[in-house]
Amino acid sequence: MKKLDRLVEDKRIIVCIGSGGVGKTTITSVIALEAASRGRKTLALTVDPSKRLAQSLGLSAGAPAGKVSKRRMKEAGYSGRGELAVRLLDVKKTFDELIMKVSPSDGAASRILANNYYRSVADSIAGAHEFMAMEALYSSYEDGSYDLIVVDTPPSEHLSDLLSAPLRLHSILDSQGFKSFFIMDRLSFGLTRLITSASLRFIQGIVGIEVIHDMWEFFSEFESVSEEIKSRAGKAYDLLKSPSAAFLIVTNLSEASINNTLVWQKELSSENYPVGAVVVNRTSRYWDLPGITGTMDLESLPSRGLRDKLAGLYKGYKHEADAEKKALKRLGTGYPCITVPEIDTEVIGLKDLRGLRGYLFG
Amino acid sequence: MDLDDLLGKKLIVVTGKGGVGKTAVSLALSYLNVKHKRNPLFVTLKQIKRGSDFFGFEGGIDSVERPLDKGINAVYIDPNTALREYIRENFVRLYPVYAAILKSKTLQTFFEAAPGLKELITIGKVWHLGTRGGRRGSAGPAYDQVIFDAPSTGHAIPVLNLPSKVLQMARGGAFRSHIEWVEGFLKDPGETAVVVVSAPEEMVVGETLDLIDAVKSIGISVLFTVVNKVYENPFTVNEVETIRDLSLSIKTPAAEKLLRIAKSHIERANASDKYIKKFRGGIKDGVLVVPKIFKKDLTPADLKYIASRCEAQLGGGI
Repeated sequence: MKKLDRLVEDKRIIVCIGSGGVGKTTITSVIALEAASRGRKTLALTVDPSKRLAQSLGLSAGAPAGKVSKRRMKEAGYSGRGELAVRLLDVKKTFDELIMKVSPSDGAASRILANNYYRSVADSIAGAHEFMAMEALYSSYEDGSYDLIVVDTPPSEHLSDLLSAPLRLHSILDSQGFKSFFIMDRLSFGLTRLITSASLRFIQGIVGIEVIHDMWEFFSEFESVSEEIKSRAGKAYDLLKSPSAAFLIVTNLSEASINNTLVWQKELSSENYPVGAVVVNRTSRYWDLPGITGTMDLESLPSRGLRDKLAGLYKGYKHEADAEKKALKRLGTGYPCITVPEIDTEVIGLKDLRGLRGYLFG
Repeated sequence: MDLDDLLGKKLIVVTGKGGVGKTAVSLALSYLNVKHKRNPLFVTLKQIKRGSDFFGFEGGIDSVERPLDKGINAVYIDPNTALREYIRENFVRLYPVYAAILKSKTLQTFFEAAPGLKELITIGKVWHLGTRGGRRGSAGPAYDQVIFDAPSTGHAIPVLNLPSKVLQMARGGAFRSHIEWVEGFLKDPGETAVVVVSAPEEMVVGETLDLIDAVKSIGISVLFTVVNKVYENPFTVNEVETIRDLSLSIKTPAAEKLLRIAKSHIERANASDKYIKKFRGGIKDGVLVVPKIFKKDLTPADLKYIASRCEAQLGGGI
């Protein structure tokens, strides 16, 4: 066994993280398909697949969930032992379901869901997207129907956005501070009173009394679900730190992406999250090119112009490959590092995904 | 769409999917301004520390405007700072009260819980930086054009969408007039335009077309789309044939590699072509093609080259 075989056979959760545009969704799909073909009941939770990749994964236009059947897996060259369930993250819907799940009564749930503040902006609060990605993961895990859940996360520049989102969002929503504000305005004296009144007037001045009212109503109602949400977030963290989870950092060899990867490696290990591997995606296929003199045996070519064009192209690719080799060294060797070279065609269909499996699995 | 259209705007918002090269295109547009004797301001939301490898510019980009290269000023906006300035300038002028208000945890919470506040104030600040007076010896604004290297698609749409979303909620208050002001300049096609950056890849094309639709449906004008990192085919039809024939006859390992690279490059160039056609079919506002530059890190010379490629595809001229 080598590479990622162990992970797809043993783990319950695999979380793929990475900067935007590195190919997280593709790698997530390759991993999920492999796990399914090895007979594990697998769910892929994905964020933003391209339209055609989504179709390949069984998500017909706009559908929130789908599956890759045994038959289609077999057609693409997989064993046909398992099938793969796929779900698209819907922030608002996950948030609504969470509220319904944890509310003490139907009445309380519907009051929150109908609140103007909740309806207009709750899903755009900083961290809501990441929080709901975690919640979707946790509720699928809790559900118990899957052996393995592979999660494709929203692109994030700061890992903390992803990992602390639940707690941060929770602390915003569960704002004792916000409520005490109103009470303080009535009860306090002196400078405190001056400041709270000024702050309150200031907020009112900015957004108007209606917003304050909507928010106040929401925060009061939120109290009834706050504890439960916090405890779920806590459990989700515990799960992600447990040996049944693994993080995969997906990166390319651009300066920015490497820098992010190095920071994340540190952050993950200092917070005790298990890192499974670093997947370096779409690397040059020409790492082994000899210097340009080695290609000069094209003297037989009829045209000098063509010879120059070929040499120019060769130099470009060689330059790129050399720069990549240097960049790869920066990534270090703290974790297993898997490189997946770029291929000529785009990864769109199941067969294309299957074509990549050899780089990740033995 | 021509060069005058581009240079005539006060604010250019550059956006697109992550990793397509928004910053390079934003800087190239800044160079295009300089080439036409205009005074641009490049605005970013990422602080660039001095000495970090940012397109070979030594100085970095900080919260104080300063020259990045000859003729280009650059500034970094920190949304938190912008928010504080906004409060100070518009609401609380008495310093001790202002300081105490800013420290209040309640207010911090409020800012976090009121999405869009910071973003909308940031956009307001971008606009303000570009349009306020201040050029020495002239009554006009400090800059001819602001080029805003905006967040990538995932974040840009919610932000551009915010004015109307927040307006639905905030039925009164001073912020309402701020938003109305922001909406005013964002939706004025004479003042503001979005430039979308894309790349010839399946994943990117779909998202780009969705982005363009979304921006338009908000009522903001899209000036053109830059398809970046395009594989260009340098060979003539005859040369392509020669390459095919050669790969059958030449068998030395080095030459084989060379020809394999050429063939794979031609294949990619064909794929790029296909996506450019798709863009041209789906976008009426114009598509500019910028070739892939085979370097890991671009330099100012590369940015100027991108600028000249864009210019050559824009009609008109001053």
